[in-house]
Amino acid sequence: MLLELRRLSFKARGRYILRDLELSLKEGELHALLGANGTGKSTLAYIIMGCEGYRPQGGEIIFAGRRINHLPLHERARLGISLAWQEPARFEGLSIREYLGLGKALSAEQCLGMVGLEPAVYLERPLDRTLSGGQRKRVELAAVLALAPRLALLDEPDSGIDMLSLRDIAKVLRRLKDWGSTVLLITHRKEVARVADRASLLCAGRVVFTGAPPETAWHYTHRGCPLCDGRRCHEA
Amino acid sequence: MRLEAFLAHPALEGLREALQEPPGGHVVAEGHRLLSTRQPKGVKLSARARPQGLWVELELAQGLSLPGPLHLCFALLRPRGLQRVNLRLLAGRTSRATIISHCIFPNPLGIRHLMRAQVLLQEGAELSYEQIHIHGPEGGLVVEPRAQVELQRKACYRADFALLQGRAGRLSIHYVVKAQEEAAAELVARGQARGQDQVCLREEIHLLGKASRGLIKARLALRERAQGLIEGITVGAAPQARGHVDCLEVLAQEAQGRAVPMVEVRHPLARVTHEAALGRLQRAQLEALMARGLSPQEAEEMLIQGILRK
Repeated sequence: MLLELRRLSFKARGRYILRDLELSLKEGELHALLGANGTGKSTLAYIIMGCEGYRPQGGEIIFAGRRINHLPLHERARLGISLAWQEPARFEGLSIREYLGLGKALSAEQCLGMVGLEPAVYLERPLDRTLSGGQRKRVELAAVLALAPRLALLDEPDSGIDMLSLRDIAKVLRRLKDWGSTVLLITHRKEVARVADRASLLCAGRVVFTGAPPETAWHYTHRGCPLCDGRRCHEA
Repeated sequence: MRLEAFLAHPALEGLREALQEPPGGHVVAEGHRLLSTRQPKGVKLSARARPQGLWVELELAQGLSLPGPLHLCFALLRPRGLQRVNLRLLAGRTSRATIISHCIFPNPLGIRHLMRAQVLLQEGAELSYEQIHIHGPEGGLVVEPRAQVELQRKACYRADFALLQGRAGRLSIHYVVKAQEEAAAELVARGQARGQDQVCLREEIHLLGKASRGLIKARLALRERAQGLIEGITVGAAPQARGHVDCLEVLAQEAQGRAVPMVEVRHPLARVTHEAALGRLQRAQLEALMARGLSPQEAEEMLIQGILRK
């Protein structure tokens, strides 16, 4: 296993966001994480990445056989973990070329082409408010591609207006898979989850089902949670 | 000190080639010693060195369009000393020029650099004045540039002060621009400070003529225990005068910053606006860069250099 989350718990303002969560990702696996809004999907990505304010109160994060709970964000990045934020930050004065240049696996031009942005138009543009939300998200995906990380955490790359089509997302995922990257694809769209090798369903901070994407998607659509039958049994 | 020996200093690496540019003139001084002057065609250049300071006068002929930048270099290579520079600049009618002023203090332990500039742009003249400061890491310096700028009808003045390398020490800028009818002024100041540095950027534009334009843009990055103050002042005193003040300060560690954008309108048809933002470097921005493998220090540096860019 490349990533193992064991009995992971995270509390914020006295409330459990994740509770005894268990999840394992095999090396090179494309794993979709499905769940309704507020079930803890993004929180889980921030915890794995090591973002400030997201230190789990309990449980273990094992990456490539090593416990990484204590490692700061940039050291986890240097181990090969990277995150594409759902709402990526904007930067004054920093160009797309410089941002993508932080990765060495693929040229900035190639990365932009893969997410449907014309390099001649976008490379020198600043990563500031002049980019639309959709364009900024595409650049975020391109930045992950440029790194070819061992583990890519993609937080809802399909959300928002002007976002990539399912076909484009599948192209990015295929490229990551070709490199041997493991991908945790966070989404609440079952059609996006279908491109994965396996999928897990998150309900009230726990993984309640893991299996083939169509089966997981069926639970997600029809019952919400196979254990609570849509009543969010783990919240109590 | 001879010019060759002076230019051999590692801090002047970027300057060497610039001074060789054939069309551009230059004035090079170390402390109160003039090392070299070159007068380009169409420019009347007078430079005198006295124990009390340097006097430099530049007069751009009417209609002149300088093909390359004119370089001024005021440096103090020794760790202690005083440099006073008195600059008078006259840009004749419809002349066009770029002046790049290099102020270089590589090992400052006790340095004072005092600049007094008087600038007059006659009707339709266009001048870009770039001031590039390169300071050493010690921060033992006082830098006080002062400028009074008069813009006649349709003149256009753009000034850019940049301190992107080294410590600021005690830096106090005060520029005042008076713009007549349809004249335009843009004052940009970009600087960084750390340690116990203290920075004050005070820039004023007085829009005195009809349809005159003014923009003040200040960017300051403060780290460690540095303190910064930006005062951007624009006065709209004529019909259709338009001005804007844009101040941004980013702070890290225990740094403290203040921004005072002051806008004043003395004519009912003038319009002046302002925006100011002060705050810590955003956590989300730092984390986005750290998720690409940069250390916290590298991420901070990259963000700051981005903010200080033109």
